[in-house]
Amino acid sequence: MERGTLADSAYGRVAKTLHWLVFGLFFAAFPLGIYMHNLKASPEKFELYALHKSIGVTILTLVALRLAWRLFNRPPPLPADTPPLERFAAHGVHWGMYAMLFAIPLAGWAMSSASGFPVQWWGVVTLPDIVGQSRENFELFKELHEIFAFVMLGLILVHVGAALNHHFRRKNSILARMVPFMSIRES
Amino acid sequence: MFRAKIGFVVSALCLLASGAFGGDWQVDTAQSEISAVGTLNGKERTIAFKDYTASIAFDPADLSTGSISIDFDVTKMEDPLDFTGDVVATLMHSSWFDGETIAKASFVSEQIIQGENGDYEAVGTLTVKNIAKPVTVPFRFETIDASSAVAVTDGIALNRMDFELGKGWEFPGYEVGEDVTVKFRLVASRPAQ
Ligand code: HEM
Repeated sequence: MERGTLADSAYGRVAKTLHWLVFGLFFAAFPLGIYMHNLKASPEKFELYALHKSIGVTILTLVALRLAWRLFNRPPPLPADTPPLERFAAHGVHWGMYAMLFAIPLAGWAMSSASGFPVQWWGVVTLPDIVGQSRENFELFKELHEIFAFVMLGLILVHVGAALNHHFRRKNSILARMVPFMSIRES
Repeated sequence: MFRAKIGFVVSALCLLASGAFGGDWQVDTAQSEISAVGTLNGKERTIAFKDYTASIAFDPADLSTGSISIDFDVTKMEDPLDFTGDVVATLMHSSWFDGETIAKASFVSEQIIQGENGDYEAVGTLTVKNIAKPVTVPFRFETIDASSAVAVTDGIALNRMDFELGKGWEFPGYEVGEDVTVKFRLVASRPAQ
């Protein structure tokens, strides 16, 4: 397939912006989560927790926006010759990532609620608690938060692998249509 | 086993000692509570002090003989919601209680006076983090029977910054209120007279 046949079906500016914002924020929140988790208790540790939570809630908000945007701005279709199994896998990974991008911050939020730390977003908005305070809730959502984060990491690896495969081996414009400023060659 | 025996001997001696001093009360720490209620991002959060020794002389009929002195080991505090241990560990940090260097806090009364509505007031000095401030502790005194009683306070309003607790804690995300209310319920007994 020749690159460029999907030229008129690239993602729009809003979709691209949201995609890469969430990408960047995820790779800020993830290592920060692991780093802070291993710190000894100190005011600095709490400062990083606050940063992590604010980034996480920002992701939650952006992902909600992305989904809303997507409802009214359908993504460009996959190349017509995409095998059904691949089509299924691509959609599965995409929806899996959306699910995780909701589930991770929600689990984090629940974990905080459970241990009596109402979540503050950049020190501006204090979010209401979403679960009751208890050790059981805390342990449960802490576990889920971690599991979901690693599931997301796995999905991202598959997603990136697939995008690179499209670009370098199949030489189509699947990657280019999501990358800002990357020209989609006209055929 | 040996420890238990020593504990028994020590408490027996204490009982004897308190008897010798007449009006002295022996606080039953297992049944008593001393806690501080603050706020975290607007939500109440309670810390309980688990290790303190109180020496109390109090006779409602003669307040002039009364005195209260309580020593706290602040390193033995508990936060029931602190599932990871981070909260108490942070409270031990030098910007908070600095527990490693200053484990001791205390309240020592200068006098006990009659307050409003039948309450009493212990006027004295609270020392936390080596900073001493005058504090008035209102409390109710309720006799249970001839040899036991309860002293309760609904709250002593303090500002944690008076004791430099949480000095420099100024980042958004974890807003800790400056107002703290200390509450206690002390169950005490003395030999029947
Ligand atoms: C997409 C957004 C997020 C990602 C990718 C993410 C990722 C992570 C990761 C990888 C960890 C380390 C897990 C561990 O080793 O235990 C972590 C820890 C944590 N996260 Fe998140 N997180 C996100 C959002 C949030 C939000 C919104 C909150 C709270 C409002 C939050 C609260 C926490 C807390 C409290 C921990 C520490 C758990 C502990 O140390 O025991 N996270 N996060």
